[in-house]
Amino acid sequence: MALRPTIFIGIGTTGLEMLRAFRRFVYETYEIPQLPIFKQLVIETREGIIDTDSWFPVLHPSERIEIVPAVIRNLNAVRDRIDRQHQNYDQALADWLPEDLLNIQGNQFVNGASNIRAAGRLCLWMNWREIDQAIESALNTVIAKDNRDATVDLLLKFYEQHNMAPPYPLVDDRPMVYLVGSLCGGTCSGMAVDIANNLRAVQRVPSIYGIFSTVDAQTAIGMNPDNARQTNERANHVANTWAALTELDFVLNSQTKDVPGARVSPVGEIGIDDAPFDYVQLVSPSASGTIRFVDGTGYVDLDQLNNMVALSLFMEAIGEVHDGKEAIRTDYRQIARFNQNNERGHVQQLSSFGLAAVLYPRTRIAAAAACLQTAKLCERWIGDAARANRNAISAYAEEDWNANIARIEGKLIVDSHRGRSIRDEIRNAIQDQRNQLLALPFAELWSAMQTFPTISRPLVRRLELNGEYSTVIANNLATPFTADLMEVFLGELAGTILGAVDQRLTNGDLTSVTDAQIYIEQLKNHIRGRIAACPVDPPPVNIQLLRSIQNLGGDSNVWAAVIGLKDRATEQKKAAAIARFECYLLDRLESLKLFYMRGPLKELIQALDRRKRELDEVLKVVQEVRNDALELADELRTVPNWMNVGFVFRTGSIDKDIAAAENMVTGRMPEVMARIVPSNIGLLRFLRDDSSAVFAGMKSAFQALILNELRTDDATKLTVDLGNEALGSLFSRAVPYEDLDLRRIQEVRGTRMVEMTIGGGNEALLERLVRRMSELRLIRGDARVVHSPLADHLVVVYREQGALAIDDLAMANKAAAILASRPGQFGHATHRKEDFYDVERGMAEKERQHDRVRRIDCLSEWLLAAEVLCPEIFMLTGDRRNPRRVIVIKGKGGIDRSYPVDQPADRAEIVNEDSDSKVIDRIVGTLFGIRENADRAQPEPLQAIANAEINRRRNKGENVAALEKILEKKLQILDAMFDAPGDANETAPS
Amino acid sequence: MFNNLLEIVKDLGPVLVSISQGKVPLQNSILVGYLLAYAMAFLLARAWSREDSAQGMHVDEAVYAAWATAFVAHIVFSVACAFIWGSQNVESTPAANYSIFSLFITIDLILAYMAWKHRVAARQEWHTLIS
Repeated sequence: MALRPTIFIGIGTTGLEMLRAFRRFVYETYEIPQLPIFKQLVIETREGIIDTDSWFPVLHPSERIEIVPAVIRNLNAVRDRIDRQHQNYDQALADWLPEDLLNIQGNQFVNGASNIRAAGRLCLWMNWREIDQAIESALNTVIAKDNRDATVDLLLKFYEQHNMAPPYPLVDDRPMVYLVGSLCGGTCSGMAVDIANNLRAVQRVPSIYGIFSTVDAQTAIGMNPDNARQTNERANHVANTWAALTELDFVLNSQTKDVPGARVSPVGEIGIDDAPFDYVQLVSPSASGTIRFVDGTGYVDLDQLNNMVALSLFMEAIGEVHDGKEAIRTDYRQIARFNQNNERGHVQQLSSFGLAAVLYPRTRIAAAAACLQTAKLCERWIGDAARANRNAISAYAEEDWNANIARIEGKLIVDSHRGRSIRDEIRNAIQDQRNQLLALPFAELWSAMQTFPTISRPLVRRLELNGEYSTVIANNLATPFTADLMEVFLGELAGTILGAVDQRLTNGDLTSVTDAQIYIEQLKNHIRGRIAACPVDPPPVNIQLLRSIQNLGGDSNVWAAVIGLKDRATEQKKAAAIARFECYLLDRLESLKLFYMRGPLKELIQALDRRKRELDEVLKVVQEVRNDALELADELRTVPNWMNVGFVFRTGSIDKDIAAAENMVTGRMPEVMARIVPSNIGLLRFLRDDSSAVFAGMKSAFQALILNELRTDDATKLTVDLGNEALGSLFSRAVPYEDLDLRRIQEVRGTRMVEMTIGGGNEALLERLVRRMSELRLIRGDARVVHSPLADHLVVVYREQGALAIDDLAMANKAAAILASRPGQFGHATHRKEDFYDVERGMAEKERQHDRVRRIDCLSEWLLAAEVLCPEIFMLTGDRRNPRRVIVIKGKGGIDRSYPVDQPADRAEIVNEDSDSKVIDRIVGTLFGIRENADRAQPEPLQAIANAEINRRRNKGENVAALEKILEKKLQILDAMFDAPGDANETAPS
Repeated sequence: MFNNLLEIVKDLGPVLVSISQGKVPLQNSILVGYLLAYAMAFLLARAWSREDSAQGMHVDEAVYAAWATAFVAHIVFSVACAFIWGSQNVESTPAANYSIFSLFITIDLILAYMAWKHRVAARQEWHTLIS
């Protein structure tokens, strides 16, 4: 019942498509494309493939399909690895790589494996480090406790939402791996076995399943072998499929496990007995008879096939169904001839399956409704310049500008000097020395002002264009102007304005991006007005104004003197002159500030222009989102014409269901907006993102709300309402999708096809449906029924035929003929010898080869033992510069024959010539004192050899005590040498 | 003109004596009144300018305005005197008196004009200063 941590490895383009479809089914149930204990990897020989699917919201990287590129940019690196003289020489690679492959045009593989299986395998080997790391990291991820805990939490929540009691345990800790892809091309077809071998031997994955699509049987059978001599794509697919099936047949066959090169991965020979796959399923676009996946125009439709594989994977990935399917496999494994070879030597371990389903497309409906709502919201955001309420917007702009102007100008013009403002400094200076000024005769005031308050630093001079105060203001202003601070400052300022725009948009004052653009234009008008008030040139020193003080007539007013008001008049004029002087200075200060403010205000306009351009971008994004949403809605509302999936709807049609779903969010816009725009970022910032991210964010917000409402749908209920004819035409298609001679397989061989019906929702209703289908003879009465609460939007009929050998496929003979019709055809075999994996051809040779290698290994081990235990057996020949060790054996007629032993080639030569193993006899005899049959005795435990020798001597009445001691010592040394203490079986050289 | 003025001044002493003795000829008493009007104009100008400046007016402007007004008042007063004088039909009035009278009126006009011009200038300057 428990879900198992699972890695889904898609290999090649078909693998990617299968996993994409699989994620949509997972999303249908869990509303996330994968559980934390799932991981999807795709190994792809094409460059630049990325995982995108508009069905999903913005995904965390861990939720995406991880695409590992396996490309070779330059085949020279491969040449180095098969060059015996090169430091990167790789014996394992050189053993299988057909060298012709290196003559490929372009000297690289970056755009797929070009339908060449050997190229697929080579791409794997050359990128093994990255691929291995990705697989290992994925394994660590899926079994990590955190991820298992997260999955448990998620499942508990799911069961709680469905008011169901969760099973226990929810999550297992035994990882499993699915490898999916197509055997027709080069990538998956060339890589799958090596990847599985490595998973088995190095990663020690307990369960490895393969689901592979093959070429369409009708395609293969209908081909004319003569025409197939031409290098066309279809012939390639057939040949590749058959070559890959042959390889699978070979590696699954337990009798081939010791053949050199049978169990290899990119790390070399892996040396294990287990087959790389626990179970391999094959599917093609056509089943037996006339059942075939075709599109509306009658052509083979691979999408439907991929979808069927994805649906099968999905059902395995959720607990109940996985257990049901695992039970099928267990049943098959238990039948007599499973995993045995048939009369032609092919192993009966493959299977094929097919399924048909009734699906309530809950997510499709929710997504379509969400898209339509997204498009409507986008329309609102785009707005209409003709209908915009310009007066109101203008008022908002004025209000916001006035609210910000003091802050903006205060920030722009910092007139502080030594910690206090220049304005205060001027006023204080005059205030402090007012009495001294007043005490001066009027006539002296003018000159006093020129030098006020000190001759060295008069205020008048300080306020000149290059004066002290002017410099202070310019420098203060220069601080934000220089460096990046100005950009920061303007950014902040524009941020304030954008914030205002955002605020206005959020509270509904501005209803569209168009409104926001008008608003910014109005703001710019205000700034332009402010700029107009700023002097273009530095304000000149207004000498005339100061001179007017002097021209007031001084104190020589006889008219006032006559009537005694002269002093009073003079005092008054002096006070006014001082006030005027102060005004002049402050006025001059303001002029300077305005002069300097002109630049930043212009910059501010430019900043607003930039923001306006950003709004243009935003508008573009919103328009793109609207278009994408409408496009996707159209795609979603067009129910796919899948032959094996019948769609059912609550209201009878998808359009009505979508309309009903749209109504579910009516009046809930605040809730939707809160989901769309996170509280920490404003609407505009959200819209400034990539359009696909914005679209995904908006759509998922609507979709989540709608899915919440659609959660309680029950496909079983809707299926019960279907007519007999509809049920019949749909579920009669649930047959294994390989063209098989089922009668022969089932009647002659006695392996029955297994049937399973899976459904969710009401269990009693499901049983009623199953009874009905049984009565209609759509399923057998004894078919398994699996109630899967997690798949309440599905009713599936699944059939699987197991214990198949490759020659059970109807295309076997024709496909083999097509492959054979192109002997030596470049690339179909992933081995230098085209028939290396063919168990029908050359098995005797393979066994001889295997025996020869075993004998060479055996001889090497004995030679090693002899070097330590009886070095006297070796003689030296050759000259001093190039001495060679030899072993001398008496041959026929008593003639001595010397065998060189140092080089591997020497040992191979001995095995070739020394068919009666005299060399080994000599070594073993010297070691143990026995002379005969040492070679045949060798595979047995050393202890047995020793015991045999001891018994022989005992029988002869010899004193064996001393001999036993010697033998025991020698055995100890041999044990240590062969590194298997206490285990006589492994002590024997192999 | 200057000699006539000297004669008037020379005449003034006996006139004042005559007035004090109650034997004053009518035309002489008019002359005295004319002179006294100057004193009154002075007092008016002083009083007005103090009052105006106390009320916040620019002191110079108030002074000039007061002086201009005082001179105009003096002319009005002088013309009034001459009218009264003429109505007495005194034949023995010395011709020089008319000349002097005309001179004084002219001086009055000039002074009033000058004061007014000063007032306008002072007003402008003040406004420039305090604006």
